[in-house]
Amino acid sequence: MFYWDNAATTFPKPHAVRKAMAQALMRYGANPGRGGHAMAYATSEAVYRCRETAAELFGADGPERVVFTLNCTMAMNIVLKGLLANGGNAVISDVEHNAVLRPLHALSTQKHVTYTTVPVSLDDPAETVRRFEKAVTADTRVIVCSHVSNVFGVIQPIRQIGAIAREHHIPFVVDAAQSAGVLPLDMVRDNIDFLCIAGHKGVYGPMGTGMLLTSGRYALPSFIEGGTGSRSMDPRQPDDLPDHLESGTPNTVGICGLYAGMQFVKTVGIAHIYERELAHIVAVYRALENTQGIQLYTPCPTAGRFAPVLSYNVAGVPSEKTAALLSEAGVAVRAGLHCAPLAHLKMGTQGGGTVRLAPCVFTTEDETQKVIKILRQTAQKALQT
Amino acid sequence: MDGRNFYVPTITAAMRGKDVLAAAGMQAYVSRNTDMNASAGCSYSISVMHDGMRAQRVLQQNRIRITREESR
Repeated sequence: MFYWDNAATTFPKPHAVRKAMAQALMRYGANPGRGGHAMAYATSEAVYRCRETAAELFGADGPERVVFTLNCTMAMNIVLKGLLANGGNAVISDVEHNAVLRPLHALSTQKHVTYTTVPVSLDDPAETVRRFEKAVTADTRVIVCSHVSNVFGVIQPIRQIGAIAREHHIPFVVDAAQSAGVLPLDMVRDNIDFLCIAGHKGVYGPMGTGMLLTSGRYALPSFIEGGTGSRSMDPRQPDDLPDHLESGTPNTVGICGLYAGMQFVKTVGIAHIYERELAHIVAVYRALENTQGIQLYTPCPTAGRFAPVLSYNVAGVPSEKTAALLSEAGVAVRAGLHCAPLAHLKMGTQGGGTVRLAPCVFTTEDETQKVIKILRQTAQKALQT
Repeated sequence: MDGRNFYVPTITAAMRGKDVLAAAGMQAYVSRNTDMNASAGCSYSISVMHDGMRAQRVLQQNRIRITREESR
C-alpha cells in the first residue's frame, strides 16, 4: 500500500517513536506527578522532556506553557470556549477546519458569540492580511487562522495576521495541525498567543496526542477539572500551568512517542522535510496537469506558498469513487470534505469533495512515480465507468 | 551550609527549577512534599544542600514561582 493520507495522520511512524512507546510501557508505568517513588519521578521526567522539546521547537516561553491534549481539536476547543466564555466576535479564515468552525457554531447558539469569515487570497498574502485587518471590530475577542489549509495546502501569512492581533490587543490562535513539523513555527516571531498542534501528523507522534502552547499573555479558564497531583486539599483547580489545563492521568505512552517524534523532526530538519515533501507534491501536480480529465484547484505548489497537500478530482466523478478505485489499486488517500466545509465552499467543491494527496518524510521518488502511474490509470478507469 | 527546600506549585515547575539550577552549576533534587498541612495537600519541592540564597535568586530570575521555602 502507498499511504498518501499523511494529512490525516502520518504513517509509518519513525522507528524511534515505536521504540519509545514500547519502552514507555516497560519503564514509565507509574503516574507522572503523583507518587514519590523512583518510577513516578522517571515518568514525570519523561513527560517533562516532551514539554521542554515542544517549547524549544515552537518558541514557547518554557515547558510550563505546553499543555497536552488528545489532539488539535481539543486544544482548539479549550482556547475558543475559554476566550469566548463571555461572548464576543471571532475572526477566522474561510479555510478553517471544523475544529474551529464547530466550537464557534456551538458557541453562537449558546452564548452571544458571532464569527466573521475572512476570504483568504490564494495568490496574494498581503491581500489576505488586509482583509483580516478590515474584519476586526470593537467586538472582536479572538483571531483564529489555520497556518495551512488541510484541503488545498495554501499557507496563510500568520505572522502578519498575528501582528494585527497584537496591534489590537486581541489573542491570536493558530491551528498548526498541518504545519507543525513541516513549516517553521515560532510563537514569539509569529505573534502567536495560542498554538494548537496535532501530535499525530507532522511531528510523527501517535494518535491520541496533541498540544496547546500558550504565550502566557492571556489566561484561560480551566476546561477539565480534576486530579493534578498538586494541592489536593484545595477543591479549586490550580492556577499554574500546565496543571490548570490538564487533569487526570495523561497519555504517558503517547507523550513518550510524541517526544521521540519531535526529536526525529529536529534531527531530520524541518526545512529538509518540507523540501522533500513539496518536491513529491510538485511532481504529482505536474503529472496530473497533463492528464486528461483531471481537475486541479490551485496553481502548481511553490515553496513558501503551499504546504505538501494537494487536492484534485477526476472530472464528473465523485471524489469518494475515485478514492475507492485508488484504494483498490493500492493507494491510500482521503476523499470528501475533509472536515473542512468552508474550504470546499470557497473552491466550489462542496458537492462532491476532492481527493487529497499528502506524502510524508518517508515517501521516496520511486514511490511517487508509481503513485503517479496509478493516479493516471485510475483517472482513466473512473472516466470509462 | 544554607541548604533550602523550595516548594513550587507543579511537578513541571520543580523539574524546570532543577534544570535551571543545574545550568547555574548547582546540584538540586526534586522530592514530593510530605507536609500535607503546609501546602493544601500534595506538592513538590526543589532541594539544595548549599547556597540557598543563590539558588533562590536563580529560581526567581527564571520565573519559577516559589510558594514556600524552608531551611534544611
